[in-house]
Amino acid sequence: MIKKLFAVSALAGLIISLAGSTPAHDEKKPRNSGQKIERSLPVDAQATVTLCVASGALKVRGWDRSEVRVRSVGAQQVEFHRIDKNKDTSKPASRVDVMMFDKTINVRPKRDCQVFADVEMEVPTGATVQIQTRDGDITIAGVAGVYAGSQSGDIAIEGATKFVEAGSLGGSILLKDSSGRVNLSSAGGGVEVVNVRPATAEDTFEVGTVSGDILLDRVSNPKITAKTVNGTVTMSGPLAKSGWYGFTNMAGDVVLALPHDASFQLNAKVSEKYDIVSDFKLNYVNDPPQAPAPKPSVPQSAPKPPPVKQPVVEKPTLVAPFVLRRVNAFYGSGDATISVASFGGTIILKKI
Amino acid sequence: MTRCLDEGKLQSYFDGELSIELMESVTSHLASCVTCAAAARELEQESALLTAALSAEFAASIPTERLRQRIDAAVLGERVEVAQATENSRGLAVFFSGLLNFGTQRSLGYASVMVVMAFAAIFGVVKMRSTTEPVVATTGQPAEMAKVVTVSSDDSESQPSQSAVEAKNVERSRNTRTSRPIRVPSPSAPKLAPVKLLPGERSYLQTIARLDSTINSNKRAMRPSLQVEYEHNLAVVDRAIAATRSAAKSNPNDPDAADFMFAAYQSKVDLLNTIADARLSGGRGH
Repeated sequence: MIKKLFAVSALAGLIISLAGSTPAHDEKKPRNSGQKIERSLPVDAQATVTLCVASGALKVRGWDRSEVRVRSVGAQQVEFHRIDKNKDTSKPASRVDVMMFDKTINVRPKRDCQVFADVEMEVPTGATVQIQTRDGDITIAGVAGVYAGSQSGDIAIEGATKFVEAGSLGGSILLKDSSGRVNLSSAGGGVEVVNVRPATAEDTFEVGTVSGDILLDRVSNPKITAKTVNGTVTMSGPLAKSGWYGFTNMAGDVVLALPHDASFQLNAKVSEKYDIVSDFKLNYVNDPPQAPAPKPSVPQSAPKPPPVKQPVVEKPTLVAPFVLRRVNAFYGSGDATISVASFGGTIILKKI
Repeated sequence: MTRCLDEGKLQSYFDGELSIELMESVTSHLASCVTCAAAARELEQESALLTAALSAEFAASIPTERLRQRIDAAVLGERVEVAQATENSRGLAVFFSGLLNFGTQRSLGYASVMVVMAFAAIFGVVKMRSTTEPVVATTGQPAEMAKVVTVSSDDSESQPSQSAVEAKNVERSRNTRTSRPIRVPSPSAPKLAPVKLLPGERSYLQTIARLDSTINSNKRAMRPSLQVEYEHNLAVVDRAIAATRSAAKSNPNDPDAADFMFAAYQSKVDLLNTIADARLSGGRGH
């Protein structure tokens, strides 16, 4: 009996020791998902770097080196694929696709965007990054150009210098302290933009949501377009001289908080059911806003309300059907142009 | 105001079985009818739920155990029938060989039987002509809109409430041997009246129909988070389209009212584009 017990324990010990001494995998292909992988590649200072994962937090940061460095927790393989037109491999890459895989190199999936991993990446400050994830959040700081997309994650971008294009289906988008052309869209999430200016005179600014709110603070691009279906549009800060501002919404208010010395021309279209509330004493270009058609019971000789009060509150008296009011007015010398089309919301002009 | 779409037409819409014209018509109706849009979303949600629940069955390349048993039983039954038919054919051969053995008396007998059958046939034809035909009654509607009552040889299948189907099922029932379609008046049948489109609206509707088709062609179930976001925002956009369309319709001479409607349509196109991109180019599990 004791001999049998000894033999079994000896056999078990032998098996355990053999298992411990035999490497299951090549060290270059770590299987431990919690292990951090790091890869780097020399690239052009203005390279374009692409990264796509299925899920995970993505953080991209610009640095002063002409090099891309990728660190990941969760991925088991990181590769750089040069996709630049110039096939001369002796020069730094100008276009790089960062490929990440869950499995070993022998059974890699056919497409990228499959890995579930958190990724931190450094790229040259002059680089353009194309970052895409399905669920994860994206944080990008200090690069020249940004293309970013996430389905349900949030996107935060800071310090972009040339352009930003970002889209999210359900997540929010935050852009701050950046310059250049901007195009942001989110279906269900809100969009907040703080301190953005143009890099060139042609840099436009476009933002759109379906049901998310839009908040613009100190945006000085010369042409700004903000559209939402069912959200509130709020813009605050000084107007660009000769700038053009277009706001469209179907339901929700448009709130413009402008300096007291703002100079603008206002072209507003608003449903008869909603108000235009203004802290500014508007000067109407042609006719003052037409008062609603008088009710039959109201005598024709009733005095009309004065065209402008401070603040101006135009109360609708006509309930149905839909009637659109048009207000063309200016304040100051009318440098900037503000065009507001609000189907189902109030237009509010505030002094700050 | 058009009447609401029935569930069968909505299902066909989501299955991509409608013609382009009907697809456009349904799309425009959904854009203008909040009730139908809500019903469509509910139906789409149910379909997605079913697809997700049965995805394992759909994905399996082998039949289920119950199906296998049914197949085996059917094969076994066929074999038994073949064996019985073979046995019967032997007896019938002996019988017919006896019949074909002509004699004088038997020839006279055959001739008399044939004369009787000829008279019977003539009488039958005259009788059929004198009776009124069983009516195929229509209400002046297009054929595809008429209700169909399928008279089946199986009593269990002859429930009128289950057999009111639309156009595509007319063809199906015609092609079925055991059923005979009879059109009956359908005063309560939901008639999809042609939607009068506003100028410039058609191109948006065509684009939306194409995008809808693209999105629905992907049979994989949408991820729940994507589905929720999609449906919520689609409802928001549809409401906006319905409201602005109503305003544009009531103010036909106001270009700004039409602009609001087009802006709402463009929002829907943008949203569908986003969803289509997410479905087509996204990773696994979209």
